[in-house]
Order: sequence, then structure tokens, then C-alpha cells
Amino acid sequence: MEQAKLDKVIEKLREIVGPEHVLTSYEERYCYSRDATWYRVIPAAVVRPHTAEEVSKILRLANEYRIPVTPRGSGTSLTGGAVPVEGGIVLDMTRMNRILEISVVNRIAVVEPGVLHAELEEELAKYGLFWPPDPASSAACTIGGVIAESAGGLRGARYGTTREWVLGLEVVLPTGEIIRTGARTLKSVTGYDLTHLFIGSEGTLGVITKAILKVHPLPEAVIRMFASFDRIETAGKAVGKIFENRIVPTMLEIIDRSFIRSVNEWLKLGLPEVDAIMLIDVEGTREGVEKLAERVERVLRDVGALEIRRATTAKEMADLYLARGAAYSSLFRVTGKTVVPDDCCVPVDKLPQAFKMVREVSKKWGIPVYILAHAGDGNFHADWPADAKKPEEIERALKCYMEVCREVLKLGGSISAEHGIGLVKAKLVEEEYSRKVVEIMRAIKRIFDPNNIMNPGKIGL
Amino acid sequence: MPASSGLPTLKDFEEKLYLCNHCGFCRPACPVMRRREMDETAGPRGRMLLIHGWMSGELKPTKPLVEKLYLCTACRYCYVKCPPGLESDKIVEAARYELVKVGAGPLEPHRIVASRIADYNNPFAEPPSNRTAWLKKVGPIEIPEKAKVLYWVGCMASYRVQTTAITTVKILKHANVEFTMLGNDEGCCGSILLRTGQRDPVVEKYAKRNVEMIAAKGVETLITSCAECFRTFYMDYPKILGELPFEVLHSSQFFERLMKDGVLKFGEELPMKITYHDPCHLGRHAGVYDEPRNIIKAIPGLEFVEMLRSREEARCCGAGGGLRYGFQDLSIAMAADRLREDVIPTGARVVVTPCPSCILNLRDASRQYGLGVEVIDLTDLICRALRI
Repeated sequence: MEQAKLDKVIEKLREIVGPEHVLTSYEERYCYSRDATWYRVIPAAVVRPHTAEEVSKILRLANEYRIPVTPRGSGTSLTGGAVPVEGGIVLDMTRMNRILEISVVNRIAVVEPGVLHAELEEELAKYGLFWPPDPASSAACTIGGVIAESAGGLRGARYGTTREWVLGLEVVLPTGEIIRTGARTLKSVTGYDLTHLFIGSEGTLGVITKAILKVHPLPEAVIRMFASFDRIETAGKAVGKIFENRIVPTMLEIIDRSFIRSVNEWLKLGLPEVDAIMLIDVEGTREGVEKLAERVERVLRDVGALEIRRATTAKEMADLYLARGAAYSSLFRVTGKTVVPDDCCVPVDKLPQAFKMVREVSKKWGIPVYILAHAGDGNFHADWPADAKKPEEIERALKCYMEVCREVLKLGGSISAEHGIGLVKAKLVEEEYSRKVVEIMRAIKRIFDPNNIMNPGKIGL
Repeated sequence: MPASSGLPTLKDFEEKLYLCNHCGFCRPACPVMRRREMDETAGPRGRMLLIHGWMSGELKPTKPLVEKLYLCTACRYCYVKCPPGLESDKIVEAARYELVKVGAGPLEPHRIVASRIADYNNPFAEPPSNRTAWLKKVGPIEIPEKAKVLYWVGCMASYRVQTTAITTVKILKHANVEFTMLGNDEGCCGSILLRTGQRDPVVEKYAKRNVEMIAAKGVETLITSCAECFRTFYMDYPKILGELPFEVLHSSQFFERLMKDGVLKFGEELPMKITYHDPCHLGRHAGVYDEPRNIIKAIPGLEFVEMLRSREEARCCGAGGGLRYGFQDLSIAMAADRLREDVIPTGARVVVTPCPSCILNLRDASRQYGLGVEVIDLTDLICRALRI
């Protein structure tokens, strides 16, 4: 964009949000150039609105001047969704951070997009409620980002992802209109389901300024179990067996040998250095959960788990969880490298094959792989360490990453379970669906965003 | 000489900086960022990016960059949340040192503090002859020229939060501890200079001078009131000078030791409800969490309620890292956040903390924001419990 035009836009942005909320120095824009990936684009300006009306005015202006806009929460995205677009504006939504309403009777929470996930969780707990999507970035990420990326998490085994827990939205369209989708009610089939179109749209259709979330009562009791396996494929098989027995755990995590070793090396936890360990949470009433846990233990024994343990106190539960909670960090600490984290999903009965495939890819490229799986819904992360100083190592890790995605498609899976498509997987969308589907997506985007200013290039659109 | 001071430089963190994967987990931990409505440029991730950009030659030490690098109390809470374990407090300090070296830092208020320390031996430009004026309030006391224990009062307790100095000496007297002090010869430890990148006078002069004066008194144990002085003697001086010829303790550690040895005994009940604020330099920097709590728990009748965010999760009071000098309003607003969000929800109206810097900032916040919280030193609490 030519400087004179940009200066004019910046002047108008200052009038809209106040001069202190428009960041223009090179250093300030530099701070907004990245998300949690390795991509980097320095935006032309950063705007920090406080109301939907301000967002509306900003988008109208951007539309008039054909300036790309990238909405952003905490910038924790793992696929490049929040990376700015060349010559574009970053719309930092974190000042819109109020929890507007919590209704126990109606089972809803109404929030602004900049609310931190962990803060909502803390607040809901006071009412005996929770919002099930629970990305690992909970402490840092915003609800707006969670919705835009349709994030998942550990509780997905039982509760699914964000798509299942949003009833309605307030969205500002790139043309400036503020629209409402969905309803404050648990049921609503008034016309097309635009709410779900916006969930996971990665900021390509509009800007979420309010969300009506469906919330759930906290379970009465939870039992956490630990199991170890001499082969990760057996752990994968155990997942299927649990569901075969009509048991739906809340959490079902698998941690592979590489992660076990790095957690042990970092924290000296003394975990058994087997091929894989599994963490399982079951929930229910106090009496019910006990029976459920016994049934899980029986299944685990039958399938050939080496060791099965149980935790019931908060302390024991926290101790067991430490292996999972520290896994990601341990990789940095032990390898001294950064991580290229993949995110795929396969049908649960294909988990054993998927694990085998990932290790074959690792062997083929000679790069060690670290596997974490939210196995209860078939979601797994193959994490590839790479030296951030060496672009060729990132490239090589990405080769493994792409190969795993393509193999996942052969297993009837999906290339993205909960991290979105962003820039990393943009080319793979057509491979998962077809050219026609991508054309439909483009056509839908044009309806909302005729000048393609909303986060262009993300999801390949 | 500065180059061989042993204090870490940016070069030491080069490898680590590459490990920042921009996950953003540090963001909610940063008390500055919270105050600045989560502005990315005022948080740890932004600072790491800026430092990285400067090191790689993409950025110059411009005014905006310098300002952003001084918007940090070095409270180290972000380190607790960082998956790759970047010690961003140390990285920021090392970056500030580089800024000073190239003439781009520190900020003007920090420069003024440095010249006051050079001229007056304290950061407030108070006359050195008044340094021990508070002693009159202790009552008759004889302080020997030499002793195995030396009480390092620190500038903050000497001039600004004198109750800390008075109560500390009262306890020492009560416990019959033979101790000495440097009197009006005591100077600044240099903490504020080290935090703001102005290392050279500390490395070249103050550290050596202070340690030599103390050692000349035959001291085996040094005790400090201030968490910042403690960190400086305990962690920084050994890097500059090598192992010190005496042990360095914070007064809370020393008094806990006296308590365990049976020298300090609490008898009468003290019916008060209090909470405890962990000073960053004592807690996250030096790992001193339990000693002050052990004292508090030993006082009969006292109701002690922990804050939701305590120990390594404790939020900073906003005073550290030169922030109070550079950005006073922001610094006091951060203290008000700590009182409103963490102290008041405990139901206690008294917060105890063993650091006069924290006390000053929290008191200012309580007064300016009308929060009605009393802020006292642990030594003050001990005196109340001992009825001295």
C-alpha cells in the first residue's frame, strides 16, 4: 500500500479506537508478526478495538481501502491462522474481555472474544459448571481464538470439540454489518446454521465479537487411571476395546516412549520406560464412576496392559497428570530444539495403524518423532523436533508432517483435528475434499467478504 | 572489569532465544501486560521477539524498543509458565546492559538514580548522615564495632520504610543477637543499577566496596531486610566477586533459624487475619518460600490465609526491575491489581511481606486506590507477636 493511503487509514483508525490503541511503530508491529508457528509477516498496523461498533467501523474502512484484516486473540495458533497478511491490519481482540453472563438455568455463558479460556473455566467453576473444549493452551488462549480455530482438547473423548458447544455468535462482517447467528436457546433450527460456518473459519468470514456458549455441570466424581503398554499399537487397540464395551471416558491420552523418556530426563519422574502409557479419566456419580473404572481396568487387563494404576485424590490425580502436562515442555528442555507439532485425526479403530505409520515416516526421514494422542477421539499429535536456527531442519520436519497428513487421509482420517488449517495445511484442503468443495468454500467466502479482505490466504482461501 | 564480571550477557542466551516458540503461555502471567490490556508489545513474548530482532540485526535500539525493554519488573513469573524455560528476566537484564553499553539505555529516571547513588550512596539523594536516624526510635542500644552477624539495612528500610529497620533491630535485640551494622557508611547494594542495565559501577566499585567493608568487621552472617538487596548479595555479587567470605541470609531466614533453635519463642496469641505476599526477588529468584511462612505459622492465634496466587505463582507488586522509577503510575496500578485480585479475596485486610520495596508500592496502591489494606513487614508482625 502506498504510504499516503496508509497514513490516511491510520489517521481514521485513530479516530475510531483512540490513538493509543493503534500501534504503528516498526517495533510494535514486529511484536505482532508471529503466532506460535515459524511464519512471520510484519503488519502495516495493529488496531485494538473495544466494542463491536468499533470493529464494524474498522472493517468498513478496511473494506473501503481493500486492506486485509487478520483478527487475533492471544496469537497461540499452531497453524499460522493469526499470522498477519502482507500489508494488512492486525485486529487484536484482547481488549474485549468481559464475561457478560453466566446462567445456570439456561446453561449458557455469554462472553466477549478476548476472554481467556482459563479465566472462563475459573469463573464457571464457581457455579459448578464448565465449558468442555479444553485446548492445552487454556491458560493463554482466548475464547474468540478457540472458536475461530474450532479447538478441541483432552475432554474431546467424551465432549467433542468447540463445534458442539457454541449456540450463537455476534459477528461483524467485513462490510460492517453486525449480525447475530444461532440463539440463546439450546434448540434452534431457524434456517441455515451460520454459527457453525463461523466456528473454525479462522477469521476468513468475519470477526466474532460475542459468543453464546453452551455450558455443562461439573461431574460429581472423576477417577483417573494409568496404564502402561509394551507396544503403542496395543494402547491404540485398547482405545477401541473401551468403546466396544460401551464406555465413554472423559479423557483418554496416549504418551509414547519418546515423550516418556524426555519427561523422565527432565523431571526425573521415574515413569516406566515402556513403549506407551495411557491416562484415562472416567466421570459420573460417586457410585457409578467406581463401576465404570472397574470396567475400564478389566478391558485394559484383557487387552494386555502391563501395569494399571488408579488415582482418586486430587494430589494423586495431579501426579499422574504430570507426565502429560509436562510432555510438550520436556521436548524443548531435553532436545534443545523447537517443535513442529502436527495434528491429525483417524477413526478410533485405525489408531494402531496410524501409530505404526507415524513411526515408519520417522524412520524413513531419520527424524525422531514424539507422539501424544487425545486417543479417545482418534486425534494424535506427531511432534517433530527441529533446530529453529536451521530452516532446512524445519523444512525436513514439515516433510514428515505432510507425509503423515497424506497417510492419514488414506486411513479415512482428517488432516486437522483441532489446530486448524491456517497456512501450514492450506494446500491439503483440496486433497482431503476435492476442488469442487474448495470452490464452494471460496464462493461462500465471497458472499460474506466480496473483496476478500478477511485473513486472505488462510485455509487456502 | 565488566567483560569478565560473570554476570550473564545476551550472548549467553543466544541459543535459548531461538527456543522461544511464541506459544504465548507467558502472556497472562505478565503483570505489566495485564495492566496494558494484554498489549503484545508490553509482554514477555513481545520482549523476547524484540531482543531477538535486535540481536539478529533486524531492529535497532530505537526509543520504542528501549521503552518496551524497560516495561518489565523482571518478576520471573513468565519463566514459570515458559515451556522451553526461557529466563526472560535475566534475558531482559542482559539486554538492558547492552542498551546501556551502546548508549541507548537506561531511561532518564534510571540515569538520575545512578547519579544519586554515586553522589549520595542511596537512590533517593538523602543525606548519608541521616542513614541511621531511625535508630533513635529503637531505644537504647549498643552496637559493637565488630560481630559475627551484620545487619545490612538497605536504602529502602533506612529512608523510606523505617518500621522495617526498627522492628528488625528490636527482634535482634530481643533475641540477644550480637550484631553490627555499617552505620552511615552503608551504601547502596546496586540492585537497581543491575536491574536497569547499569552494571559497570556495581561491578567496578560497589560490590567490592560493600563486601570489603562487611568482611573487615569479621562477619560470618549477613542479614538483609530487602529482598532486592538479598538477591544482589546472594546471587549477583558471587558472580562478580566469586564466593563471598560470609553467608548471606534474608532476615526471614535468619529469624526462622532463631525460632528453630528455640531462641525466638512466641507465647501470647496474636488475633489477626493476615495473608502473605511473596517478593519476587525472594521467592521466584532465590526460592525462599517456606521460611517466612514457617514463622507466620508458628505465631499462636494468627489466622493465615494463602492467596490464590502465591509462592511461584505470586503476582509481582510492580516495584521491581526499575519499573517504579521508570513508570510510577503503572507500577502502583500493578500493586493495586495485586491487592484487589489476590489480597482482598482472602478476606484478610493485612498483608505481610518481608520486603520494604514491596511494602512501599503496596501501601501507595492501597492509599491511592482507597483499598483499605494494611501492608506490614514480617518483622513488624513478629514484633507484634512478641509484644515488643
